[in-house]
Amino acid sequence: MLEIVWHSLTRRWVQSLATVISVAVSVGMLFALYRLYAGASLGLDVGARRLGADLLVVPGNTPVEPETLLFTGAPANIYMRRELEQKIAKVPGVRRTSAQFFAQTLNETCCSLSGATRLVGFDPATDWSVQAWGTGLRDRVLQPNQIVVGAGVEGVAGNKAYILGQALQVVTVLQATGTSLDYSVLMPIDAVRALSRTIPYLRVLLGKGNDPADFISAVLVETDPRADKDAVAAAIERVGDVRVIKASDVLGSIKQQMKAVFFIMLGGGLLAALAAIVQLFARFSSLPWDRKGEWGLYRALGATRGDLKRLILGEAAILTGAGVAIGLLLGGVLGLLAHAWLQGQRAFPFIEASWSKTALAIVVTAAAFGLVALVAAWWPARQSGRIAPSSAMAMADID
Amino acid sequence: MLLQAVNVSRSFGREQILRDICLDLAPGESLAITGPSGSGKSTLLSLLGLLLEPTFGEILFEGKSTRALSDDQRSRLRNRSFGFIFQNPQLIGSLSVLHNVLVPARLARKRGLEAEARRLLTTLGLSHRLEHLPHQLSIGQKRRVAVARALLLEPVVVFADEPTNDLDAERAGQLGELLYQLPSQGRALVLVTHDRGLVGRAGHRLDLSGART
Repeated sequence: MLEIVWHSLTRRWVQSLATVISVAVSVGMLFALYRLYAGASLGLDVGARRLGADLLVVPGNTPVEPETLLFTGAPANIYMRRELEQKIAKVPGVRRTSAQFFAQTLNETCCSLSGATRLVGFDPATDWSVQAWGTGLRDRVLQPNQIVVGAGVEGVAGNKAYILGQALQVVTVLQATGTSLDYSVLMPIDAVRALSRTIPYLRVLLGKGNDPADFISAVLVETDPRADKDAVAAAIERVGDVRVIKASDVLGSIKQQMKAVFFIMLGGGLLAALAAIVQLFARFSSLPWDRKGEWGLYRALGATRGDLKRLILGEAAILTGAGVAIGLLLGGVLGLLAHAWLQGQRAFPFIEASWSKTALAIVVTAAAFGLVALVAAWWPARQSGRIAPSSAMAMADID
Repeated sequence: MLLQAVNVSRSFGREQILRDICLDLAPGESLAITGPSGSGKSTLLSLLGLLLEPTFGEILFEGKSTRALSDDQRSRLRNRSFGFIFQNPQLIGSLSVLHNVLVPARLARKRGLEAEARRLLTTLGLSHRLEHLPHQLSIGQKRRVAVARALLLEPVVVFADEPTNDLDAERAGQLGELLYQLPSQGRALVLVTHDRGLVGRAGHRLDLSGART
């Protein structure tokens, strides 16, 4: 039977190929879109959860966009006096604070970690946002020659990395957060400051006679749950020349932009799916007329009504199955390429959706198109039962 | 009896094509149905081959009425016990000669009949055409492919509607020989034909010239 189905499909190879391509394109688009959307949504959610800070306080003259600070690992050489942290900690509504100091890795040195990556110094005594996301970091005291790398940085726990001419040991790789942490190299704040003293451009940036130990780059602020975040942010901005970034606002804004982009893309995907569905229905609805002679002959030669239904549904299953399989493969590759590109651009926080969710998406996609094919093939399959075996007697040759 | 028609009548709408046809056919017998065009020869062949159901009367196969058989049972009976050679060869255009012959075996889910199909086609002078498609064959060659298809599953009854149409005298003679070997093998042969040679060799003859009345 399978051989008959196969011959029937290959005989009409142009129609068959068009149907398979149509299904494959729409499945591929929808699957790639799902993977991107799920990854970006997860990245945003996890990022918001793991950032841990309600407010990020940076120098008032910071030329960097809040999204860049929060979600990219691009170097951000911004500095303010360290005394500001104490002042911020005293603002009503502030529950706790932790200072960070930013520098950057070099990218010219042999064996350096690739690219110019943000080097983040965190204060082990007060930090709650970095140490929570690395295996075994919570109660560990990092030595000056030890570093932690984000999930997006090339690095393996136990290996050595060369940064600013120093051989440093990678203690652990942080879990993915979807934020700038993923693209950062992290060390205790004093160790980064010590390294910074050897960087000429930082000396220029900080001013002659100034020591990195007197500066910080950002202060993470967690507010009291009952406090009005806007009021706290306004109060902090009155402390000195600082700028307050509200994480929830930034995340919300990115989410809105992301949704708009994805809805437009989803529209395209759904149109492609609609075209595939129309193609399937067009292909199968004309069968009772196109193939009356062939089906009549099969009936005369002993095919039961069930056999004919199996032939028709078998054709639908093979066409759709091939389309879905190729589409999922295509979607997977497209998703990977888009993921790689987005990570390169660092435009969105992104965390790969779990395998179980991806598997569920595959099953749902296959089931949805299987159902469409079943519905499309059902009517001709039903009509085939009405073909009388005697019709073969009256037919001319069957092309 | 292998095949019996008991008072079989068939109408299409108000037009009655056949009325009160009775016949018996035993294994090893042959029957030639003759008559002018429109006399119901092909209709009777369809009724006997369970392709059509009689309006009145019944067809018995191996002594059992076929009236009560379900559609699926009739299909299986056609597939396993009957062989059909239609007036038009009725080949599937996308299948090679060999695969056309194998269609009844595929429908019966029988494997391992390829060698038999090749043997039949060789007997019919088509050994060099096995992989050809129907459109590459002459009408006479197509008819021989249809004959091979009808004989593949060794049916107990073979129905042939004008089997020697479009064949030259030599090929018609060879085909006649092949068909008339069937009764000697214990199988029954029912022919609709205008070919006097074939009619003359049949054990029984049914002339439908006056069948309407």
